[in-house]
Amino acid sequence: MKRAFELTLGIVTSVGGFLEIGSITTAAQAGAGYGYQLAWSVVLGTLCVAFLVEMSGRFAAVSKHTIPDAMRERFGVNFFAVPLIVMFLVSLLTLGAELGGAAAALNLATGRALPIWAIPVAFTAWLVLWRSTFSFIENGVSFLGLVTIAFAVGAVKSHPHYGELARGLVPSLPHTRPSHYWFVAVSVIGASISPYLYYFYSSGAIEEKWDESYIAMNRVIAGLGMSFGGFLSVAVLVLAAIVFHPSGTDVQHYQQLPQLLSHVFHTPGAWLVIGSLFIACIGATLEITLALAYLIAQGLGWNWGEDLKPHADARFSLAYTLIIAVAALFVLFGVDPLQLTQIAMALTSASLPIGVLPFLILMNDRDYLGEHTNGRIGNAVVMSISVMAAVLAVVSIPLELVGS
Amino acid sequence: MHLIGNILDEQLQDNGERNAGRVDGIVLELRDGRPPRVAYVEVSPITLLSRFSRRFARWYARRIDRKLDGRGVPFRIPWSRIERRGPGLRLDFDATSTPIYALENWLRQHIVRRVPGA
Amino acid sequence: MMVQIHEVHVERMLSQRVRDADGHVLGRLEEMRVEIVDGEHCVVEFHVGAGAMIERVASFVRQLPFFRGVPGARSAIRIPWQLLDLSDPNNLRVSATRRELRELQRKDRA
Repeated sequence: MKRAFELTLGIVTSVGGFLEIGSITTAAQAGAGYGYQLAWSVVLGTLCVAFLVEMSGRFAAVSKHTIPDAMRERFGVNFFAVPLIVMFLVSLLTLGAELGGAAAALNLATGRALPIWAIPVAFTAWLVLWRSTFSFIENGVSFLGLVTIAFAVGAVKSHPHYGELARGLVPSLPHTRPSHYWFVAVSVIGASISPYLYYFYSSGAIEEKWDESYIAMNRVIAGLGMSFGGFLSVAVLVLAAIVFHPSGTDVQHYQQLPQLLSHVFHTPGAWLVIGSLFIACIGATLEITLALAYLIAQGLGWNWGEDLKPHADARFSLAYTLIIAVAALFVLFGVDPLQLTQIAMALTSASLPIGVLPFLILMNDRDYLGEHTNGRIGNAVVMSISVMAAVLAVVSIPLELVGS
Repeated sequence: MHLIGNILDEQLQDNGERNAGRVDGIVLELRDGRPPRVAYVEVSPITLLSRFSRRFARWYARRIDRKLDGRGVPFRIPWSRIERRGPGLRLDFDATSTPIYALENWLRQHIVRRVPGA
Repeated sequence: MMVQIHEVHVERMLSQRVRDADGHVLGRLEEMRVEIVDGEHCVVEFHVGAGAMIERVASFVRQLPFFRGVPGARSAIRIPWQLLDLSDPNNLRVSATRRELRELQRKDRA
């Protein structure tokens, strides 16, 4: 009975926590620019992240190590520093984008300028981290995140062309603006496979004291949770394909986002988008901030844990305080959240192998996983998708910059 | 037992199961005609930095030494005070009163305590 | 002063090039094996090879489809503690030639 509850909770939190500024805006840009044609990129990204999340849960449950912990132990500090720094910088940009997204939601709701919200948003997120426990953050915020299901309802109610959507699930070459097509594709993939996600997940499994009996449950949570989450991303893409694509409008401002649902639900639809954006971005802010603080604390062997009170892990608590403060500067200085998101997602894709390769090496290490090491399929899927995304990103980012 | 594979960069815990840093360095004692003895383990940002840049580590050590008297040298733990238990390494003393916890303690007393609601 | 001469840092020797008696590079120092000698933990053997990192990556890549042909790193050369001069960590020297070391290893295995 307890397991059934944990299972449901796990799936619900994965679904509620899936959408954030990255997946919403990149899916909306894909739909607006290319109709259903880029649906495959959501599928590919979701497939890869489902494998990665399953792996990181299994790794924590079997080895009782988090990923950064094992990386330093296995590869030594000199090698560990490379993925640490790269992932830290990319995730910091993503964090800035999430804070920007929450501020954008407040700007849409109140009409007050975006930078004004930088400090209130950052402070609210910090207060939640300072005062509450891990399970409160994971469960509470993700339950609120279920409001994002509104996108799925909206997509179904707008009667998409299912045949065309099905054709979009198969990768195809673009008819127009090829370099932009690949750029959007890698941004979508980067938005799904954000490394902070599986790093966060492994720390969560340790905080919740998983053991080997959780392997099966972990597999179901990762598979179903991520699939439903990917389904929500597809829904955003479908809505954008219906709302923006016919008129040839690109999504270039977050002010356009409320139209995604207002065409089906009218004014309440716009509010649903604003609410979803705010909750999803605050949720992602909490996760990324914690993931980065875990990265530092575990790499240096500090006391860490969101369930500890700040005075029991002062270094950890001040690390996340500092991280959130630095990321808030992006919003404070008026960096456009949508542009920041695009850059962060493309860079995430470009840097995927740097975080993924050492992780896969650990996942094949019998010293940590015994008989639970990766199968060939998992290795091949994650490796090929992340390398492909990185190659596409390295090629398409400069072309996109030149083009714009 | 292997020094690189099993000891270097490994997590340390103290006698109260608190995380007490990682093995940043290992010191061997050389003796004539006898094999090198594992003498100390170092847990210190100075040692950690020296693995990236010796010059930067020396600069950092000088700065620390000027600010906090006598702290410009890495903290050493005699090998005899360490036990291999389970996946990690266990110290036979309380680490909270050692330099390993100096930053933690300072931050708690000077910053965290002053934040209302902590 | 004497104390410092008699101490070496493991982390500084790690990944340093090791040369044999002829001055040829044998590889990089990648591991040290510890055993209890007279009640004390002592380093009894040094492993020199392509580098621990390269070996880990190679053994992983070989598990992927299409990459099974990637050559595996040769097994590390094992050097007994008596043969490695540690007095200068930046210039690690073995007092035997590569051939003598291989010979030694073959005898060990037999």
